[in-house]
Amino acid sequence: MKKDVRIEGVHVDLDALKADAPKDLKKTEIFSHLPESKQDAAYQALQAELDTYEAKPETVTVEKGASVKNFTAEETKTKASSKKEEK
Amino acid sequence: MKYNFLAVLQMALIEACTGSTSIKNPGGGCDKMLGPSKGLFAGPPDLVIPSGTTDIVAYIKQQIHAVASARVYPIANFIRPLFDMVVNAAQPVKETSNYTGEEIFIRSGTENRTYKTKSGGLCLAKAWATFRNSGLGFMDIDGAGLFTLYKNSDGSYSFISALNMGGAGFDTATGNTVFKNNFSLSYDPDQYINATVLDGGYGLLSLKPLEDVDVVAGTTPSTTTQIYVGVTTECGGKDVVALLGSGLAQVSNFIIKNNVGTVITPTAAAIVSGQVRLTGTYPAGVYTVSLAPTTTLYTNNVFYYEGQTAASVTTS
Repeated sequence: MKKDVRIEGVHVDLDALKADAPKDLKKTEIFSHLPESKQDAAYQALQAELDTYEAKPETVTVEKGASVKNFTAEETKTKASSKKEEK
Repeated sequence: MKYNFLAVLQMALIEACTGSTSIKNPGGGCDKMLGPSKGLFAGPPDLVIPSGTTDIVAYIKQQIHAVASARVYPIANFIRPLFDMVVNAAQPVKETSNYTGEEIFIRSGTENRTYKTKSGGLCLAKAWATFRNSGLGFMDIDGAGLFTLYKNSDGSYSFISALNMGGAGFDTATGNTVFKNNFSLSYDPDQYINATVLDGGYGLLSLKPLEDVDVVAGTTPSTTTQIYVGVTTECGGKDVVALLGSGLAQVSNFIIKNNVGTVITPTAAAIVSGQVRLTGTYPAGVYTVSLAPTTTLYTNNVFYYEGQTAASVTTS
């Protein structure tokens, strides 16, 4: 998963972009030096990269040989609350 | 044991009068030896070049960008060609018996070399002067790419110990001669003979030394969302932005700090109007912008530059 991208010669750190508060403003400003005809395409390309990056799955460590199941959101909640009750 | 200097003597305690185990058999041998010097590299004598190193050129290039304590410095090669090398060969010290005329070799003396280049001007003279008393070791390279290093007992390699090295002033131009910078090297030949001659170092002759650069405030006014900076060489004031282009415009190549020293990571970096533009959030105030350490620049494929002075930039 790419953490940074280069679009139209501009190097963008996607983590910094995510963390930066007025995100939309930055995305506009990032390409403000380009001709207007190129700005929109560059912006769309960056948005696509950011969407892909934000959609990355959480990393889960699983021991070798363990069976893996995709839990539903409801199941995850149930398991978390039952663990709390055990404590 | 660090070096293989008389290795056999250090394997066990040997009573000197019980045998001659320190004498190596002189049969065979290899005639490979360096031709006329084309290059000299300086580096920490305790730097360990791993035994599994397959590409010495790539390894040394990386070490040129290492932190100062592990850094390797090209002194002379094709980038800064030798104009001349003066060798004052070691004068062996001997004692001659007044009674029998017998001559006894006492020690090898010291070999002194002076490398001369007409490149670099006074900036190089100043830089080379800082190598005096540095304690650095050295590596010799000839025009065919043969080079010398110590081979350690574990198969790794190290630079050869020097007695001293460093800038030795310059030769002023005269009506018949050009200006020349001098770099002197003194070493003990008894140590040098323990070096190993290696092949395949031709590429070392094209590696550059690091050049000091400064980050300067850009000519375009910086705002609360965009900071503009330039990068110029300390000596000569060359525009590094123009030289490197978009490769320099990388977020992690620059470190921005606010007035209390908090690091602010820019969102994007681009070359705009011949300057580096760093987009981010910078509330009105004063910021310092410096170049990242050489190790980071190396990772980002920005080679042979080290940042020195940071720029002070005011956003509004």
